[in-house]
Amino acid sequence: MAVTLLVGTEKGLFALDSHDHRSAWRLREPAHPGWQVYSLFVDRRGTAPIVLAGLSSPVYGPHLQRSRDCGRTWEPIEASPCFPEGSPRQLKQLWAVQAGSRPETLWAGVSHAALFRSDDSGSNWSMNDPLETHPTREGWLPGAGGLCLHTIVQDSGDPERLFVGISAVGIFRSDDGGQSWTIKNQGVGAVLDAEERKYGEVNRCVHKFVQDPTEPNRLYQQNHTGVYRSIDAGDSWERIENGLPSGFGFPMVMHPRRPRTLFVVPQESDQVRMFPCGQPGVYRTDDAGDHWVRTHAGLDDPSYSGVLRNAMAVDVEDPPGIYFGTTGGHVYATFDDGDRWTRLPGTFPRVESLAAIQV
Amino acid sequence: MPRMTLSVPRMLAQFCDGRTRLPVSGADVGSALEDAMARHPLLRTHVLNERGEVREHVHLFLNETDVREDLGAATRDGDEIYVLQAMSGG
Repeated sequence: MAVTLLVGTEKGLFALDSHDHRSAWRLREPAHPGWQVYSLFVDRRGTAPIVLAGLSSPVYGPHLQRSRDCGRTWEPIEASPCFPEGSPRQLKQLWAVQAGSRPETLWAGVSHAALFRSDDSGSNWSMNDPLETHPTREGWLPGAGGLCLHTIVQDSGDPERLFVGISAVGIFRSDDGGQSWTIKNQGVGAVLDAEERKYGEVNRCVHKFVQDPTEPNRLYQQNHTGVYRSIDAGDSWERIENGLPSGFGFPMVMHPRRPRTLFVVPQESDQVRMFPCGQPGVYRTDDAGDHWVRTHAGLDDPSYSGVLRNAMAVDVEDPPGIYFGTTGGHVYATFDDGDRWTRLPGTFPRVESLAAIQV
Repeated sequence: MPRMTLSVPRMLAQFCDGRTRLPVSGADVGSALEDAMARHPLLRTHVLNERGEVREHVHLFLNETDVREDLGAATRDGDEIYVLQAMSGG
């Protein structure tokens, strides 16, 4: 099959169509020029993929768009997630869309932190009240990207289990389909010791997390303070940074075919947010984080850019394609688990999000 | 009821059937805006915030007069109302 890679940027949405078994890529005309695209989600559950894109503007605010033809045409969703009329909170960004456990159920995460649910494939949305009224909410602190609910993981084994990640608050787990939520930050370091003393288990700045689909109790987390693993569905976490040049980073993806294999992109500190010493690298572990190896062949070096939390994606071809986009506007792909990276055509605005569609 | 034209930025045209100029009617700026937003709900989403106020970086002009803080400004036949992106941020 061919693959289309959607590239969401600070100033519009772009699409790269693959040819000749992903050895050649052609760039389409941009869609949604001027709009930020913080999130892209491909719903592969139906007969044809449906793409949802979270668009926003610092001037005009956010809304969701939907495409049923791999991003060629788009339909703005009138009843996109929104706070109730009169709310003192402003919805700034649509950070995440994810499939729920039922065929037409979707979840969406936004900033200022809230979770929304749709039961009609994204046409209408309602806010998740239990998270809204969580007893710890008054102590939640925002990260640099605002108080954003940026990651949603529907458990691969238990339809009632759901995880969400909120910066700079941490990971929450629900075991009853979103009717109640428990914070799952035990073992995760706070950015400042003072925060740990003041807020207890709240305010651990999760940047991204993933679940190993074949072993659902295994979770992996890229946090502000490091990279962590849980083998008990988030009840506890341990550091897994052996071989990483920095614990700081944003994106993290699972290999779509190999359990315990995942990728991160270490970056230099929260002050700098670039590849360490200008040396780009995607780090892969094949043993659930016990060891990491740098992959970098083919990457432009030196590179003084970074990679944002939603700017990494995988396709489900065999072998899979793994993709990332940089804050400098370049997009790279590998089809051999990182042994060789290839820069795809185009220089884009700051890349905010990526999604791969099999077509 | 005065009839006039509402001009919107190109970024918002997709919410207005692809048009940047819309016929609207209303006795004042707020009513004319409401006329357009009732037909184009995402125009409301992107011009007003959750409290129903004009978004911080959106400007409104009635002909050559800034009416961002005066949605009750009276309108006349043939007026033009402009929704503009504020020139903030350099």
